[in-house]
Amino acid sequence: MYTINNKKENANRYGLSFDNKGNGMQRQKCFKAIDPIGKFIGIMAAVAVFTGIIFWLNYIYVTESDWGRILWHDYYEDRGKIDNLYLGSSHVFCDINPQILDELNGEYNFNLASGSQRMNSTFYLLREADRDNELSHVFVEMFYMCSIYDDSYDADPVDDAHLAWCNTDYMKPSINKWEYMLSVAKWGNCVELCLPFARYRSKLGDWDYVKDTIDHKGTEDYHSYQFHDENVTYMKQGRSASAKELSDERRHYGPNRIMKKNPLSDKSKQYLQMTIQYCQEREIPITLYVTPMDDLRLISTLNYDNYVDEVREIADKYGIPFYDFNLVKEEYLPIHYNKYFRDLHHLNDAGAEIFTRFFYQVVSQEESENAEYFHESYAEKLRESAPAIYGIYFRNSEDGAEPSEAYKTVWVASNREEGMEYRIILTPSEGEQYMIQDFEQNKEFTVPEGETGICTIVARMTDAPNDVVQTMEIDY
Amino acid sequence: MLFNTPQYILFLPLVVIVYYCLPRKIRYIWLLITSYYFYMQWNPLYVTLLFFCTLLTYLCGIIIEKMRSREADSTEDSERKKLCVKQKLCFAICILLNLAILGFFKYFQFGISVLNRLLSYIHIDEISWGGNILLPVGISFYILQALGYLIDVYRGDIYAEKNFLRYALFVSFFPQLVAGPIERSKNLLVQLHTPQSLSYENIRRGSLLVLYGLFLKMVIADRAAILVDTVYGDSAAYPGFYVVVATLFFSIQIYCDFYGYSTIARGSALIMGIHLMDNFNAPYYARSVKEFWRRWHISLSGWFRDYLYIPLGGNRKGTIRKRGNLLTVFAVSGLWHGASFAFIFWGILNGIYQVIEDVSEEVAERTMRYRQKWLNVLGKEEEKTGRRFSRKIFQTVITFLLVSFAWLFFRAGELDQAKEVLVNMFRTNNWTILFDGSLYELGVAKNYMNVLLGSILFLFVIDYFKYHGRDVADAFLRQGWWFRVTGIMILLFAILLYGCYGQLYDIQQFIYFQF
Repeated sequence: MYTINNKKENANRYGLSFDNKGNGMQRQKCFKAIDPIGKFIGIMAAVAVFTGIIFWLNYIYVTESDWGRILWHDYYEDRGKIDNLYLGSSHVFCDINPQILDELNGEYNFNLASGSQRMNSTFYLLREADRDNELSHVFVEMFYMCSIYDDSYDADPVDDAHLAWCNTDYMKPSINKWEYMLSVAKWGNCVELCLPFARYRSKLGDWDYVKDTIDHKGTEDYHSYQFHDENVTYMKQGRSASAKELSDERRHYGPNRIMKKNPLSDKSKQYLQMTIQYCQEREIPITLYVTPMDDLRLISTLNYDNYVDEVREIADKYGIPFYDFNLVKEEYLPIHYNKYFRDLHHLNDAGAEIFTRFFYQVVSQEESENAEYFHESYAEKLRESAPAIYGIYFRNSEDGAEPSEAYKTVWVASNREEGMEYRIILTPSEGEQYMIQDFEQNKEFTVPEGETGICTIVARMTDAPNDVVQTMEIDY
Repeated sequence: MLFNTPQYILFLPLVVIVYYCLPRKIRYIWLLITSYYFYMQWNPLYVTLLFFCTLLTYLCGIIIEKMRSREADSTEDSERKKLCVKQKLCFAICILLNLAILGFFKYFQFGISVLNRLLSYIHIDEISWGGNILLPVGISFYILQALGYLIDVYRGDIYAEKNFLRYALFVSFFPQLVAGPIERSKNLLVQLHTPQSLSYENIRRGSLLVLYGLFLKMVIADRAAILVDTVYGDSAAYPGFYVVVATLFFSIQIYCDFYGYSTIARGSALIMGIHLMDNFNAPYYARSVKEFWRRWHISLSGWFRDYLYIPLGGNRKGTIRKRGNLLTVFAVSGLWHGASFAFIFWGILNGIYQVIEDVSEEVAERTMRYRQKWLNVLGKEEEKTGRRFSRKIFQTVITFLLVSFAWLFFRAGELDQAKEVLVNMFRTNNWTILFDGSLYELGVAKNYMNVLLGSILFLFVIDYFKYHGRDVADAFLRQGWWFRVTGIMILLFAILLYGCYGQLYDIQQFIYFQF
């Protein structure tokens, strides 16, 4: 298309040369020739410098995953001897006591649980554990907050993703690990996933933080893989111990999601099915379960049964047991007292002991033998319970968006839709006490924005106006 | 697929590895496939538009050339005239069709809104248009590139490309497809004919350019964007010097954004042995708006100069015509940038600056002549002032401020919003915000602001050498191992530590993608 002269003109402009046939343009040599070995050594040395800086930055910035670091260290120490594997969220490492289970079943139990563990994490952690151990039974915990969100949900908490990435930080290299990494991060997050220090960029220049991190990494606890703070201690086999007790003043909760029909996200459902199929293909028994939570949490979803129904449907489809311990009849598991909870959804040591023993009793029997322990639905459980109030909550709007002004509009959580009346009195930290309503059936009320204090709720039944059912004082 | 995403950082090496593994003769086919794949990442459907424009200009180029050769062979005058008319007709149809496509996708909605505004003045019902036309990314760039080729063929400056696939690659070459540089056939097509062998120098120089481009985009442009967006998003809440500072930062943002893109494009192409033109040459060191436009978006300025300004008569038809041409070209340039009166105004304002410069140069020249006469009469010698450093600084600063003022209209996007921003700018005199730490509350915390300012200083140092004709990349790559590794690590870790990416930031699209 061009004449040779055209090409030459053009070539000169760009410092190119070419042979008489008019092809094979070569960039004129502007640089000293470097021998290939020198080049290779130079590149390798640069890579080594880069890697060194990465290690140094990780050392001075990364602190988040003491739990993950110790858990995975513990796991790799116990590798090969795990019989029963407990997967799931923080509910597992707080509520299931593997040491008690060891005594009860005479096998080795391990909680491979991590904070806010979603179903995709569960699937890959199962594969990791199955590769290293001869598993006899897998227990998958199904906390609804980890199963109803998908990646597209705007309020997907940033920390949840971080918690999943922490697992990958400490897992040993394998194809399973790479697949897991691809599963828990979007393309835009892959730098943060692969280079943990990049998650701490907001701390850049915060020298106090850096000093604390370096100091922490010099402690005996850090080097001996111990973890304890004022409330929590890491015990062996992936267990978190705490003696902390829940108080009435802290009985408020929000935001929460209204549980619509079929609330499981597509991704959760897909990975749950993959997890079940994986176990069934390898003939490993699998059980799904939900740990007990405070009723305030469950009532604030408005229809918790929608969740239970969907998980039950999947369990039935695959013919595996599913136990929701929130549906247990009070007489079999009398655990719904503040002294057994460390917060609204995690049990403390005393609660975990009671629960673990009951849990073992249930899972060691055939599913049909357990029917008597459970209510058919959560609604049935509320109906059959004595009238009670559980606290106050605020929640997201129907479309999932958070309320624009937190705690402005709140609801009383009780186990009666009708027939119960509430007196609501607010005592602000600064200012005079005032009454919102005096024994009315209305559960919804407004707290002035920015105001804090104590909310006193007195409940009575409409048909027994002289008997107070319950009085509760709650911080707001 | 944006250049500043991990996808591209994986895509590029894959393309390069396969490119060099293939025989030279078919490498362009691989590049064509990858370019179309790259484009389809935005909207697979719009690839048909790219294909249509390519096919249209390709066929017209071939037809025009065939007619020209027949015209040359023909001995009869009438036959030659006929062929000449046919050539013109073919050329005009092709140009019009391409402009119609551009017009429809880019200006149709704007045209409807203008028409409705006019109709409302004369109390006629507005035309209802509920549709929303999605602007195909890069359409303004690849159409201009294809038209440039066609005009070159029509003028007989180049021969038409016979190989359709190679021509399609010329139009769609992925590094420069969506935001330029708008390459000339004389540069790019010839290189696509003669692929180079694997070169260590090209790879390391190209990689350095990619790294520097990412630094400009992720460390400077996207960080400055946070501050700019905060202020321009609510100029009523951030009046006075907030707007001034945000406007100055926008000047830096748009430069680093676009220069960053062009640099990554150049680097990506260079790794494959293809040399794209440099789109920027230290524009903020310019000492006049005219000089600024010789250094800013050089490929577009050159396109408009060669294919619009000169055909309009350029500066050959008298002073008034010259100035008229200048204003016309800049108005068109404004319209090319965006379908809004604010962009047109921005273009015209830049044209007006240059007309004023032209007039003041003329006046200064006459004054100097009279002054010289008087000095001769008085027997004194002329004092040379033109090369004074302070004068150069003054001219550079004034040019920067004038250009930044024009960017205000560009950033606002609509004239009404520009007016609002301007009103808020002059509403209050809150100069103390420059020193009392208020600027750190615009989304860029103190430590990030310090890094941002340091990075801008670094950019200006590099540009200083560039302004004086030094090839900084060459000079850098000639240094010792330690120096090179230190420099590369600084760039790399500046991006990793201070770049806007990941969970805390939305990955910012390049500003020029919208054009």
